[in-house]
Amino acid sequence: MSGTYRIAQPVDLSCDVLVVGSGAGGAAVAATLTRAGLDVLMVEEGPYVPAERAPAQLTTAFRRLWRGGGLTAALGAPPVAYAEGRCVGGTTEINSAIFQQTPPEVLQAWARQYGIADFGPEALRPYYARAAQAVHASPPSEPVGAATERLRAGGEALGWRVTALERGHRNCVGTNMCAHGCPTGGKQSMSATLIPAALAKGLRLIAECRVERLVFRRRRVATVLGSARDGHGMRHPVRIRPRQVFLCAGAIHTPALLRAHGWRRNIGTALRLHPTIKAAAIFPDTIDAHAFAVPQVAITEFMPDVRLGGSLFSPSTFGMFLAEDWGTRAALMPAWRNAGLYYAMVRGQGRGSVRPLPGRGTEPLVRYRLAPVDWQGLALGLERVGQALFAAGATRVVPSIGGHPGWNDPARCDEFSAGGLPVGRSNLMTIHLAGSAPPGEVEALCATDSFGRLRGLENLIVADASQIPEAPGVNPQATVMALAFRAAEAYLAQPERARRQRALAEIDRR
Amino acid sequence: MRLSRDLVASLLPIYPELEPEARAEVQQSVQEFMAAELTLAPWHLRSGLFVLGLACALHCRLCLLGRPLGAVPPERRAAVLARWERLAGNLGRSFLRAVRGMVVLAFYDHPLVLARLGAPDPARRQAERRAYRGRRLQERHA
Repeated sequence: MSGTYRIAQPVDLSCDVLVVGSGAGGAAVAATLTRAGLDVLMVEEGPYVPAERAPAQLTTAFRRLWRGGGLTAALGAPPVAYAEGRCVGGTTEINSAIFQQTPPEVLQAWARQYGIADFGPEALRPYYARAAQAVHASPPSEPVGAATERLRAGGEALGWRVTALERGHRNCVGTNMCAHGCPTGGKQSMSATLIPAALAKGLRLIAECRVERLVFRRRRVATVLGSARDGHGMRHPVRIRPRQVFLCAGAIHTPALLRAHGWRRNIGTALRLHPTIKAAAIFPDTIDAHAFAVPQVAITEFMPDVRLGGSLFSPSTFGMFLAEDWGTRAALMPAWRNAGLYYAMVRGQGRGSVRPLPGRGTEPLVRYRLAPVDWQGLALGLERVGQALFAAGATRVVPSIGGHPGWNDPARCDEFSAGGLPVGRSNLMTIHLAGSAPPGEVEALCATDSFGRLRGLENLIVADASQIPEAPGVNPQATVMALAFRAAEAYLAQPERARRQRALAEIDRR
Repeated sequence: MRLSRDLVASLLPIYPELEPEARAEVQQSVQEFMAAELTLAPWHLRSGLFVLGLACALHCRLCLLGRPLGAVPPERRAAVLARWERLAGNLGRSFLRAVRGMVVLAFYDHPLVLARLGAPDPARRQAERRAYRGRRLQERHA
């Protein structure tokens, strides 16, 4: 991409706006501000991996595109494995690009509880529309595959609402490699949409550049210090003097960076996520789930609290699922062509925290504790996903619980409804993180004002998943983008005179 | 390092059956994946895995009277690791589960294993799907 740079020597840069992070939030901010004619510099910790160089193997994708090689977890009882992208485009490069708006009643409740100005279904409508247009949000491409059809059939057989999931795609051909960085360019991730658009308008993007230190002067971020890797793996110091900083490093790394610099008020104290538990279904016939895109319908009857859906499937992901209890489940591996992976996801009411690890710079330590209601939701969700899969013809359903032999009969699916799931043996994961720097005017709850401006600093705005106040109950990418568009517009809407005065004052200070 | 190699050898799935040379190649690839993952993992997880790995190595040496895990027959290895799982509590089980998860993932991600399973080669599938999408886009524009 023209406009992307690799640093080969120490550099000293200045810009109107520095955007830290290139995921859904950062890309939306950069696209908005470059279109307005500002000089925008974006730094991204991970590499740029274009579609034509997307890894063929999942193991290679873990190393190149996923944070921590995919080995990231919120500690707790039990730990919750989470996934984040670490590449140009962020998590949009490894997710399934499902595009859903947060339900209106949830937005309204947040507006009231957190005192968020100019926030709600009507206020966010134009920003959601812009996000949908940017990623070409559209119905699933055909054919959707048997793994999708089975989930649809199971839900409908039980009389539950089943919804086709809109995805950000353009002529997706179902390669089933969403988690590898889409190799065909069909998925409309940020590296395929907003980032090239911003580059065409003058964005400068430095990949493999990690922000390590913020230097403050008179309630402003005066300098941002980091280091960038060159083509030979050598790191070189990078010094950036921005007029404005947009921090878009995600729900984990934004609070970690801020807390490491002493900004703690309501930052990293209320991490929210969607606890998710998987279940494998074995069908009597071949469904070849590996040959199609991720299941593209969800059972939405129980939303926003519980959603049932399907997961990415390949022999390796199925093997990894079975490896949770390999002694008893290895015998299922030969049936991989008859298998599908599904999940129950709850809108978590629990809370977690993000803290920088002592002595490790901005490296985060993430903790999460599920609320009792989350456990009830997971037990209920697992019961219902089991019932739906049996209704679709499954002969065996194996929940992601260590030592569990699986169910052969739908009547057994309510096993955990009375006593709850076994805490120590339940294997939970999530890909949706939020809430670690909530916006709003209720200062006792919120880290920033209603438009992401960090309290106590004049020139730092947060625009990423940490701004979603709580777990939304839906895939968060659309909401991250909508809030980032809104924050960038609010920044642009400041009176021009005030902006000019600030710029002159900044020049005087230097 | 040696424990990592021995653990990979012990935990490598036996299905599908591979020729010895192919199995050796896959095992090498899995070991490289494991080494890379341990480098990339967050510091606190890496430290935890390292400490538990040391404890597991000590357990294996004690059970095998000083011999390395890789020097005994597969059944004996499996028995020693099963005893570790029983004795080491939740943390020990989590350690072995994490290592096994990585081993199994990397094993079934390898093109030689996928070929034996009858699954498409990932690189070839990528190329085919790129070409297919290209044709579809051309047709649409035409």
